[in-house]
Amino acid sequence: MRRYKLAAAFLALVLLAGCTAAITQRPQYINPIDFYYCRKDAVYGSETGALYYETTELGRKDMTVEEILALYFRGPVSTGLRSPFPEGLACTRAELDGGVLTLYLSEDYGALSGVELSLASACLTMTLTQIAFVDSVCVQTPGALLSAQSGQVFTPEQFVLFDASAYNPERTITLYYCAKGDALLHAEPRTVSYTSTDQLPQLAMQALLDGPQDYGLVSAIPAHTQLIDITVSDGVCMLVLSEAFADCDTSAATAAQAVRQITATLCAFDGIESVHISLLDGSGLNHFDLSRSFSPEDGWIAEE
Amino acid sequence: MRNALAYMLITSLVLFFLNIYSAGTTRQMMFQAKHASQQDKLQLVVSSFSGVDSLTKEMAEQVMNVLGEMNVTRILITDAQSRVLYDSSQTRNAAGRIVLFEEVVQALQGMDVFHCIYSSGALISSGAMPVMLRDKPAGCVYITEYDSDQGQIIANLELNFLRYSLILLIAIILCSIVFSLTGSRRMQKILRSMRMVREGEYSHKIQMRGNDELTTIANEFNKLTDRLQQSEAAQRQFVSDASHELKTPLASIKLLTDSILQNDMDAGTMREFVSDIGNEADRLTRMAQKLLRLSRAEDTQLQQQEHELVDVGEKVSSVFRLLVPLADSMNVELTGSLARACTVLSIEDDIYQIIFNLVENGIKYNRSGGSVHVTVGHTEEEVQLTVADTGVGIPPDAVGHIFERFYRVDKARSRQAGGSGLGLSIVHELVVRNYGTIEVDSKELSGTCFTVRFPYFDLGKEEDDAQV
Repeated sequence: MRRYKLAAAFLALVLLAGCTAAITQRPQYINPIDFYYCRKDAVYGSETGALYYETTELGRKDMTVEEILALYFRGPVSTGLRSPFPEGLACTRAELDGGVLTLYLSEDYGALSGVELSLASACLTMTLTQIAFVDSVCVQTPGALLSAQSGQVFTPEQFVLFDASAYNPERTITLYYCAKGDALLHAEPRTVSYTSTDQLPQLAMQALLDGPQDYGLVSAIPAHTQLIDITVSDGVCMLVLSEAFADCDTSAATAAQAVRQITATLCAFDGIESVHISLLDGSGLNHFDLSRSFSPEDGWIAEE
Repeated sequence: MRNALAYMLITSLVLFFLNIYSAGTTRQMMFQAKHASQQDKLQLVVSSFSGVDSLTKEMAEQVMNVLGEMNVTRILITDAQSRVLYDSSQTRNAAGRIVLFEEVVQALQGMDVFHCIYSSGALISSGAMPVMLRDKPAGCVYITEYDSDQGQIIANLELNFLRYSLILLIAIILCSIVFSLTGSRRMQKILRSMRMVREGEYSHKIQMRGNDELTTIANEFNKLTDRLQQSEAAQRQFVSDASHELKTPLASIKLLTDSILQNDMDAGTMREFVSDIGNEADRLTRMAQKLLRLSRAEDTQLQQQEHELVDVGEKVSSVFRLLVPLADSMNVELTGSLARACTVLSIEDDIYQIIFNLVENGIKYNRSGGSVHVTVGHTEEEVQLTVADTGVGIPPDAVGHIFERFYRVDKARSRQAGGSGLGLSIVHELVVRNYGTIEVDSKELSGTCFTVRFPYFDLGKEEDDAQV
């Protein structure tokens, strides 16, 4: 008897927890809300891509998701936007569970296909994930017509609306590191994004100081070395490094290897023929002369 | 300076719009070249999928492995729902995600898209082309390029345009200021001279070098002051001459009246003196009338009188009727050969006065038993009036002066004949203002012939022309 009572109490507690969870996962009213639609006229390079939004004031504080969707499916007020949703589309039910808002839409949604379907999914996702506790959106279309994306869970991150590479292009640069037990330098390609080609030497130097990504490679440049300043003038790249670089001065070979890494990496860029390295405090190295400029020499780099 | 500012403003605007036009044209050319290049690349990728049944990730990777990077910033290949099957970007790889760039959406709706801008020193272009399977978009290929080399070319070109425009503008500004100051200085010089002439210093002349409009103004101004000077001198001379001429009969009148008052004289003598006073008064009156007539002949406003058709022969007949008594009294024969329809367009009174003065002179300065013959004829171009007398003639050294005011060859004879020295001056002014010419041919003791020519106005021909 006592066991049954305990079981019943436990079951009641579980049910209570479940209800509480259901209550805490009820979508929270947000006002105003941005309703996402499609642009009518082409706008290139926009951060919202082929979509755009209009900010809408919701009426009552206790509006349900279904009511919000009913308002949303009416379409845009702005003449520059069009709705990707079929005429008469309705949401019969909306359930929120674990951050996933599942929408049960009428059969009309199943008629969408191709890019129009993707546009509709994106608009729904971008709009409804503004609501608190909604992290993703899933659309179900009951009946015979199944949407190609039916049942798929969408988050805003799954839609790419803006091509940043057009404004921050990438370049694959070559960084030079050492291999264990090998005096030669080994190339490691690394892709960086930049806004101006003038940035490339600095980006390359910072990537070099970050260390190799290939496990077989090591860097002779001390780990905490920081790039203080870099300028290029008349083919000479002037580098100012933090005092941590002096930690490579344990022997002439180690210091030379660090200097070679930097020289080979930077002289790969057009406009740089030699490199001059100095430390922030103006000091030099004991085992290696930093007073002159360095250019790549034959025999530094291993043949791949 | 205002003109210089306006000139600079206009030039600046022209240079500004030229710069914009040049920059715009350069960019358009670059955009077109980029469009063509990108279309070729897109077509190459799209055509690699021809003949396939569907577009898959593996197929996309296979094709791109063959084609390579194609020297573009990024290539995306999507399926019909815009889900990325292949992405060349390493740091922003979007494989498996849905891209909704405007270019991709339009391509999946069946359009070829190209868009290019010049921004921050780079040419940024993007384009997309659908992959059609069974006449429907099965996916699309999207390319974007970030071309800093082309952008640098545009930047350098625009910088050069701007640089040369600035240099040109500075040169224009400097030249405008220099020309404005030079022109202003020269204009000030002209204004100073005008003020001096206004104060009465007619002899002042503007010294200006050059070959422009200001030099022309200065030269014309100098000619104007010359004419003013001559005109003032002529006026002074006229006043002096007129005063002198008027003084003589007035002195005679004074002498005669003094004589009458101071002397006892018989009635006959007194009548004679009074008669002489009357004659002098008549001479004064005639002189005043002729002076007035001469003044009117020179009045440019009166010269605007409407010209009318005048038959010269008819006017000669009118003059003869009036002068026949004078000719008879002086035993001078008056004859004429008058052709018909010798019509001129002139002022009627002027023609009458000209003929009257010439014929009267021909009678007065003739000998007893002499003659005055008037001929009127015309050619196609002109009407010719000649007045030839058998009078005393004019000495050769006096011929050049006979048209001057108050000039008399024989003062004594002129006085006796009641002349004032103004008759031929009046004739000359009237002939000139009726667009005619006058010549004189004289031999002392043989006679004088005056020839006056006017432009012939053929009424019949004018009417014919009007009818045509």
